[in-house]
Amino acid sequence: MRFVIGFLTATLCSSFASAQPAPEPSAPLTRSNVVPPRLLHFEQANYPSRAEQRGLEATVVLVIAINSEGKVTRVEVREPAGEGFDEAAVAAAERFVFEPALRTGMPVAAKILYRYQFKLEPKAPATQTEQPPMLPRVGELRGKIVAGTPPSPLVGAKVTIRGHGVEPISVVTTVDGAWLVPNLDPGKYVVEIATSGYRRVSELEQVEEGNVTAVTYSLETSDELPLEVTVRGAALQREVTHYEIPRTEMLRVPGTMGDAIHAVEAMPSVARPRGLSGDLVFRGSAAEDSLVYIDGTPVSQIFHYGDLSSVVPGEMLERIEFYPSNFSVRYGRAMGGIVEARLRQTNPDEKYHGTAQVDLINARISAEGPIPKLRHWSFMGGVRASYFDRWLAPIMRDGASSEDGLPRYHDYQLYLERRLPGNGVYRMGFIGANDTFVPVLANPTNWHVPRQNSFGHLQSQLRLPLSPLVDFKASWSLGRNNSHIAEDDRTRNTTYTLGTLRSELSLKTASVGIARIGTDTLYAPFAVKAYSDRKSAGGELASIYSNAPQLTQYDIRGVYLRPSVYAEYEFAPSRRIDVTAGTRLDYTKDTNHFDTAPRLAVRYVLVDGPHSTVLKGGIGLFYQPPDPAQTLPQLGTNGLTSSRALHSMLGVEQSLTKHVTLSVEGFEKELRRLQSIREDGSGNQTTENNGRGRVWGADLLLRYHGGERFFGWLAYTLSRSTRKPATDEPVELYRYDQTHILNLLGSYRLGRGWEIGGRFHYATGLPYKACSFGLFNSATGDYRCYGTENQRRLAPYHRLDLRVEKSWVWPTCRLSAYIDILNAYGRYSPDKAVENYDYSGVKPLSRSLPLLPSIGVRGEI
Amino acid sequence: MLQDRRVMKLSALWLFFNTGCDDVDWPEPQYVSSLRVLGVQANPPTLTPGASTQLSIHCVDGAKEANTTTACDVDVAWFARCNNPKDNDPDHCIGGYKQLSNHLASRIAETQAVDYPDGFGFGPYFNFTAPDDVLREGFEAAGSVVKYGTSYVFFAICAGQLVTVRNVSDRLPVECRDRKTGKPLDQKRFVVGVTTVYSYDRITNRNPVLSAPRFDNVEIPSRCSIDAKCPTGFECSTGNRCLPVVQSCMKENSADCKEHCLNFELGIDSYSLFSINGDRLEAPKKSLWLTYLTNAGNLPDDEASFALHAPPDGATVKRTPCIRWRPPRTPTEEAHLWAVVRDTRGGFATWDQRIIVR
Repeated sequence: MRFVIGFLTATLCSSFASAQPAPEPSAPLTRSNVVPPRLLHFEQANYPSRAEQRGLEATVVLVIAINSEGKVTRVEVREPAGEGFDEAAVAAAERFVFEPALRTGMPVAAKILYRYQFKLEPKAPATQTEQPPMLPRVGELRGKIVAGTPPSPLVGAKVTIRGHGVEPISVVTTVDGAWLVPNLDPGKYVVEIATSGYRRVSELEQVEEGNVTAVTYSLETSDELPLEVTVRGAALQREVTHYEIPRTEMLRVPGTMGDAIHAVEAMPSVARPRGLSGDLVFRGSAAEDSLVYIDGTPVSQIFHYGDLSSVVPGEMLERIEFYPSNFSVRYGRAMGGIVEARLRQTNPDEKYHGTAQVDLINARISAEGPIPKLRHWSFMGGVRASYFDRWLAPIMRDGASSEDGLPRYHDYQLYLERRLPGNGVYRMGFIGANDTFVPVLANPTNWHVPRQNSFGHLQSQLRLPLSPLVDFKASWSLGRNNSHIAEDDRTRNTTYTLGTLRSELSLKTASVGIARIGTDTLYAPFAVKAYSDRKSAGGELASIYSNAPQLTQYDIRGVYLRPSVYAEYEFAPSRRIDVTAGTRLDYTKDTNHFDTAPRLAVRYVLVDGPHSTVLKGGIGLFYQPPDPAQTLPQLGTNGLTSSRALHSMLGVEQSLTKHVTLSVEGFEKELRRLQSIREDGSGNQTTENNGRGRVWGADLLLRYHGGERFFGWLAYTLSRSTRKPATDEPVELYRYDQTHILNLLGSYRLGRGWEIGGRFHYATGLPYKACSFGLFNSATGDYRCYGTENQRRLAPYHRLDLRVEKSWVWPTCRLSAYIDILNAYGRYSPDKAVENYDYSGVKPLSRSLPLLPSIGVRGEI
Repeated sequence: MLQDRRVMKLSALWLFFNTGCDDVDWPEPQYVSSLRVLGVQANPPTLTPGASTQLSIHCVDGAKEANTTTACDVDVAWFARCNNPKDNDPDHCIGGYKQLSNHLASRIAETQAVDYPDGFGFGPYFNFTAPDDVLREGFEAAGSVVKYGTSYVFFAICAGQLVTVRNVSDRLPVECRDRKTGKPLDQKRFVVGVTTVYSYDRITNRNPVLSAPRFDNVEIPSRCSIDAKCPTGFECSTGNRCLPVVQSCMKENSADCKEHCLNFELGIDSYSLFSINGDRLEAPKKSLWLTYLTNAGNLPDDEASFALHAPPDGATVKRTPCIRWRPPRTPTEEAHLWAVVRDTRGGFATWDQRIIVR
């Protein structure tokens, strides 16, 4: 038997089998004033019967957690051996008793590595009546793959075993870099390891009958392909402007009440929306110019009514990726930014876990774990419901009118997941939400639901490495969206089915690049029942312009089809430069137009090493088709085309220390063919594509991350956003223009389960138009602006949020209690200016949160 | 009280959940507390090329300094010559009035009628004549093409005196000043507006007619006298009119604050006519809608206007829905409820219902 770096060679012995007491545990390196735990009681494991019959021996490496009383609280397998040895070792180790570890003479909890050896004892010679035991005719190859300095386990590396006359066998290393191929016929085998970023390894190993050949390979990085190997890193290289909020932070950002997607609002380039609209406003773009995805499925509503919770709970997310501009060709139909909320995979430990959270606003519960009798399958699901209307309405009733309402919502998710070989995964699931308003008064005389929205989506995803060079990803979704809006006498009920299909094939080429081609199709049959103002045929007042119009019923059905294809090549001509060039072709059926969008992004490592300096730049075209309501048959406008934006940016990323990074970037957007609505003297409205706009500015993000106790950042944006609604109209500030946007936040773990955090948010006041005089229209009885329309600004917005959390941790569960105080000093920040009906005056109005404390409890197992 | 404190603390909280109108304390547009123009009535409401109509201002003055609510002591100036403007947008005509102002005296009331420039008028009435070439566009109706033209007439009404402003092209060349002090008056005493007059070749419109008023389902007699008494709940006032008498409310929105109903008939005369080869037919459908205003008490927002479909199927008259009105807390002999009816072809009418609140 031969080893590269060997741990153990197993020797076949016949006869009785026993598990032997192991030598003293190898305690981790400790400081000089710490005494490791001492084993007082050793528990004999049951030797796995099948392994005993085959004469197998093994050593299982365990991590044992011991509390301050010397009791074993948790046992994990660090280096598995398979064949039932792991389970037997864990069962025995759970019954060990230790003398606890000591620190400065005081008992403390500790974790140790423990090697549990299974050795077969020699058997007495067989009598003449006994048949000699059958020797197993197979052997086993297993081992570990490490890389880096110091050597660390390499996860997800593909190991292929090739032998004469047998089909190649491929396995993938697990979380500890281990791999195993059992039941091999004796002979020579080629072990190949090919994984991105590392030199290929090919070694010849010998497998002998009844023997376990254990090998460890240490890989070297490839100079020609300096790409990160982690799954997350590869995806992020495509965009030059991206911000990511990892899971360790997203649930702890102060001011978000634990809602992960709200954490995006604290990033650079995100402007403050009006009141509690829930809009996401990126780099001076309209909210409707940006898209939000949940694992590749676009969602029409990301926040529930009231803007306190998003439709997906944070504990189901792996990370949130946020691209304020210059995003990859895999995204389209948007001129603003992209938010992609990635669902995490289920915990691979084959155990059941759950979370329950209750606070003043809502309650939620989620669970995950293996599916019984379905090997390799697991599930993850949850449900949330709000109830604050039930306790708040009785308090509000004195003084409320018959129109006042409160939001009520619920959401639900269920996913099934199957891990595939080669680090692949298949997932399918369902996600949905329902939002409505309920009256404040117990028996309102004139109540009608002003708004209601619900959606439900089936989703499915497949990620499958086809070979070391080729990856395939596909996802589809099918969902139904219902919305109901009622204002005055007008109601609109819209129901549409939304289908999406995305696929992407990536191919590593010539060891310096990755080529990707993909499709992204949106299919939406719709049915709109609208009670709306009719357009004038001419010669009379259009009722849209009138005070109480005649409503015409429209029953419109059709299909929106928006397919697209894209191609992208990402290559690194040297280890310092990374270039991504791509193009996307979109077709919009309702406008019958094609849009071609080329994009380019470059990253250049100016200074390598721990204090790296990276320059980055990007430029590209981005198209956005008209809103479907603009192109509805009968109610829409013919001849509209997609709006277009040219994004450009230039920036630098500087790693200051291991935990601190600084990113500064300048950006600009040129907007063309924006839709503008023109209204004539009879009230007829037409939509045209002759609006223009411009956005320019700079971002700064100074971030502390990866620390054990603290994380935080300072995000600042300086920008200007203007619009020119039509060719004969002057340039004006855009309604979301905010010159200065500042977020300063941090969260610190004090120890003993305590954590505190705070966030300060400042934004320049929103612009508004003030009309100096109103013109009365006798035909309608309305007023419109007649005098000079000046742009002014509301008072600046600022607010302080505080969060305190206390957690109690046990071996199998965790309990947290927290208090979130939003707007801690009760700042009244105006969101809009409301003019008098005749434009004779204007007053500020705030729809922002008042001082809002929320107390909650969360449990996890 | 504890409840009050809780309500106060949480009032800011529930405000942002309010699904009704914006929560600023602007007066509701239905409440008359200043000089208000109900509208401009044209008699007849539609023209043929070369025909004339008389425009009249219907205004009310709810300001404290007004002598009465229903008679407006005002200057009124008219500016026409805005026919089929570009993009059908009357704003394009405003610049043209700059030159017209050169013919006006500093105090417009002092301009002699013979010196009025073409397209200008002064006073509560204005005679407007459609140009001979006013018909420009066409639309299909009843299997035929109807030609039409659109004319706009601006007006300025001032509860003081109108003075000429020269060398302005972005607004009407007038402003409103106090008769005694000469200080400028704001929009509470000065209203600038525009009205629309349609011309057709084969449609004739008529102004709607509000008739047969009912108050709390009791028909209001047109006259009263010693011999013809008013129904129960009404009083015969000076002027021989039956006026409803109601109780004032102790507290707004409280259970004892009774709502009262007012509605009307809209007779066949409210609907326009269509002519093909001399045959007179019902014209293509148009909208009529009612709005209500008051100077006392309140009107619920969502019932201040109704849409009506014309012509009624198989019926010669149509009764409007009830408008609910709640009396004020303060007794008054001069509570008014105005009803304004409009249609989409320039038709206009008003009704002034005076109510006694005790």
